[in-house]
Amino acid sequence: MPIKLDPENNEISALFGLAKLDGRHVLEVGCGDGRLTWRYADRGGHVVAIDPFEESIIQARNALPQNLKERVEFHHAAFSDFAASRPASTFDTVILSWSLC
Amino acid sequence: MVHALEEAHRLLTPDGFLVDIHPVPEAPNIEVRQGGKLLLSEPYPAQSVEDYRQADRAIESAIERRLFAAPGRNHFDFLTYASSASELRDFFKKTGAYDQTPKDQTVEARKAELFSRVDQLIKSTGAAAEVIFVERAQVAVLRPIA
Repeated sequence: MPIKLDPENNEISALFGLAKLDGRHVLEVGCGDGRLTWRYADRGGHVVAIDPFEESIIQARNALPQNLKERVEFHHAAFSDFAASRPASTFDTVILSWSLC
Repeated sequence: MVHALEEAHRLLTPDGFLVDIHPVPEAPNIEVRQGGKLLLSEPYPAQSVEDYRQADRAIESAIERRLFAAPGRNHFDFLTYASSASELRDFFKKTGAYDQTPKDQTVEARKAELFSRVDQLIKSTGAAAEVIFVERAQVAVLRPIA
């Protein structure tokens, strides 16, 4: 049996219980292989997802569903470097995905 | 951590919001279930939950400094399912490959002992069982104060 991560969707249910992402410009920090990204990206207007580990970003890009290719972009970057390269007030939502700790 | 919150604040539009997801500072649990029946439930010998406490403190600090308003919060259980302790251990090795934190050998020995007992229990049942890693986590939504 392959590893199953949160098949009950408890995480995304807890998130959607607090916030709507519909149509928003989202930055996800610490996206890993896109595990969480896929679960909300069809609601976001546009998603920029970053992770400091290149292998994870390669996996995420390879697994990117066709229907999300226009909406989601993955970048191999540390948050501090990425933030320094972007102007203020760029995103409607920033998600720190298990990355603050 | 505080710097990350400052950067997030700068990147957000005035009507935007920050979502933070991280585990609560308590030990996760390991369970073994077979057909819905709970065969084992024990705390996982986590090395430290100090990082999670620091994340909580960073958020509180950002609120005190009026970067963000007090958040709305939800808690949830993040469950990871495996068919054996070995499979779960291999998964942790892969996902933690980037973790540079020095390993506490006492904790590592307790993990190995627990994984061994779990695999023995699964073998003894003679039927399919699941190993479940239960991690309590929280979602906080914080709105920036201009």
